[in-house]
Amino acid sequence: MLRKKSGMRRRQFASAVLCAVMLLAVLSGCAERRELMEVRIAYRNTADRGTVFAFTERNLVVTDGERLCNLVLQLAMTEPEDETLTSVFPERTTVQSLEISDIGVITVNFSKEYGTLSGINRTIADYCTVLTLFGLEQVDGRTITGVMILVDGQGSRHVFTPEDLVTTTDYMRLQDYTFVIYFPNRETGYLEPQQFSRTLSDAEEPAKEIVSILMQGRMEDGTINRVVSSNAEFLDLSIRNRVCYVNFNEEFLDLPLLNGEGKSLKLYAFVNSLCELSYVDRVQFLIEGETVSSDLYEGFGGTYTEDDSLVAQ
Amino acid sequence: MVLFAGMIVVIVSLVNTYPLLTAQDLMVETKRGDMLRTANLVSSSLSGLQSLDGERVAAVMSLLDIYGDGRVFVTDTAGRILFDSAEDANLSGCSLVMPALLSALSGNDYFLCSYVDNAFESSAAVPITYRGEVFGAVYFYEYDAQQGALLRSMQRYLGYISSVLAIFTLAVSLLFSSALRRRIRNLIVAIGEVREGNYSHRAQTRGRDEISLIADEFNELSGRLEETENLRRQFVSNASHELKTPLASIKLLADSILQNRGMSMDDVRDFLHDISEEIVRLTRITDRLLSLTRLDVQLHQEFVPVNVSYVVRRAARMLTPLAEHYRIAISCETADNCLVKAEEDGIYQIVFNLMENALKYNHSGGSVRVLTYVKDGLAYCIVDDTGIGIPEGDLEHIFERFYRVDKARSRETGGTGLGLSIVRKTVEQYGGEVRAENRESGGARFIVTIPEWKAEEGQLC
Repeated sequence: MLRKKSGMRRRQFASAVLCAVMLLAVLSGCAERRELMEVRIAYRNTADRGTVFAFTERNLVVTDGERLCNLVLQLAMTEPEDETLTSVFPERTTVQSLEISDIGVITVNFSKEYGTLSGINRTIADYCTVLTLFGLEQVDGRTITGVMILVDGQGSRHVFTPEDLVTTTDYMRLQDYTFVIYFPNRETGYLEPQQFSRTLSDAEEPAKEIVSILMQGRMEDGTINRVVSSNAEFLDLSIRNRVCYVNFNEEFLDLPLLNGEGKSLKLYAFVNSLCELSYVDRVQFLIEGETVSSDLYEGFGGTYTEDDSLVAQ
Repeated sequence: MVLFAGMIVVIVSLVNTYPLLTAQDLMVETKRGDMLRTANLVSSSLSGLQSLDGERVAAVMSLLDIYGDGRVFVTDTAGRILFDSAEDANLSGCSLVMPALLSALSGNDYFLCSYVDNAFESSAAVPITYRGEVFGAVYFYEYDAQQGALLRSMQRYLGYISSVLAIFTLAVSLLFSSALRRRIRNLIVAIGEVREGNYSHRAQTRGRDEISLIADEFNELSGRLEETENLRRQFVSNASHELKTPLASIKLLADSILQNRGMSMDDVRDFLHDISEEIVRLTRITDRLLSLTRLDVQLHQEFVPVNVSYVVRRAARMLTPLAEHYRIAISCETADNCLVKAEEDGIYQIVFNLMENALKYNHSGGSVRVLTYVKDGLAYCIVDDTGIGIPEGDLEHIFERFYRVDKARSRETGGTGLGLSIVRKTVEQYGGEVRAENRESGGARFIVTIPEWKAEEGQLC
């Protein structure tokens, strides 16, 4: 009973702090760029069932990246309204400093109270921080690639990512896949199929594995035959309504590998390979998350369907 | 029928569900035991290390190699995976943050198994302790599609068997129910026919089941009804005829007196005498009909010990004038102990009727011999005459109402055709029997047997 009362007082106090923080954010934002953004705050789930982490969604008016990161962490440190969720941060924990590197790694320096956490509780707090910050996706135009956590300026230089976190059994259930990957043959001007076997967990998207294999290229006569330029980076992939959206950086546009008819063997290597998946019919390429048009590639702004005429018989 | 089909569906559903749930529970319990045992074995093997690091854990685990198709993780207290038994998609170095691990790191064993997508997904987690301190956890995961498929195939086969059984049961039930309904309908039709007065209609019977027994009983009942109805009709017809004859005579005699104005007083007196005799006859007939009706009703009466021999001697005395009139000798050979439990008037009626018949249907100069005795618990009363006898074809009918062997002679002697019926009815009332036969030396013999009454010790008769 006492604990419940104490929890209620804590929640009231947290709500007051939250309102003040939001008001400050709004007021400070009035003088600068104002943007409404939906953010997800990670908390610990105390319900009997489900995963350890759960999220609440908030709409925030934000200005710059650091302020946004500070704001979401402040929210993560306050008790949520949902009584089945709880904040794992010790009381009076503050963010002493926060930096975002050029490569998208956010370094968060918590006050010494954070250091009182240990064992699995510390891990839960670390990942509440990581999941909350990764929920922002981009800060000041930079994609978040990792989070480094310091306590009072001290700590290991370990970079956390959500990929390092196992929260469900989906990561443990393995399945064997056989992919048919189409590699361009510059000499013949056709795509050549090659089978690859992989074991993936249910949490892993097979389409990402297909793109990764193509990004690595094919080993031929001791040398790697690249499909994309060495500077090209695969950023992200999503599948909606049987359309696979593959997101690359700008360098992906290099090395078009056109055949005699002006069709890009590179693009169709991805399209035909991804369309081998039963749940993909079309592929759309994105550059830095945007649809762009290109003179080198015909119809690059739209979606592609597989072209069997390019496959070597 | 819909209700019956519904019941079958419910039963089939239960038959399908219960074994599956039991099998599922059994499998889950087996998994719980196996997985927690394995996890605890790993835990106890690792507890000797006192502190955990990836290499040492891997060394111990390679020695164990006991996890079969499952996947074993070993974590430190922070949930960092130090060992993952899977070679592909190995998660070593990742952080495992799941309710199962939290439970284990709190010092508790954990097990959860769910049957999803035709497979068992099970998780077990146990703490790794040293001197009471938790310094890691073992997490055991298993995705068992094989047992799931086994359960699924069991479900499928149960479904097939249940469907076949349900269809068979339904078909057989339909068959039986329609046959039963048809037979009951036949019975209802038969009851309707009999209710409408068609007593000759019989329900069709087949087999020896309860419906057939009911039909048999019904047929028996309607047979008796038919017989009774026939007897009633015959009786009414006979009674009407018997009553009509004297009435017609009375009318004729009365009309003669009325129409013949010049009739002498002597003739009138003769005619009135005849009318009086016809009225006496009518009275006699109606009295006997009333006696028979009383016997038919069979009101419960108190019977008393009656000495048949005494009654025979009294009847003989009463009939002596008639015997003298016909010049027939009456002789009685009676045993004193011939006792029966009856009414004295009833026994007198029996004996008197039989002896009167023996006199009336005898030859002048003949004899009537009455014999009473007791044998084998029965009191016998035998009336022999030296008369005309009874034709063999009539022997079985002479006790029927209004049946006469020689109608002209019977009326002439003042017979009503009811005397022997009254005898039989009365004898039966006392639990006895009466039968008639022809004597070899000529004449008829009537034999009456009634259970003998014996005085119990201390009882006076």
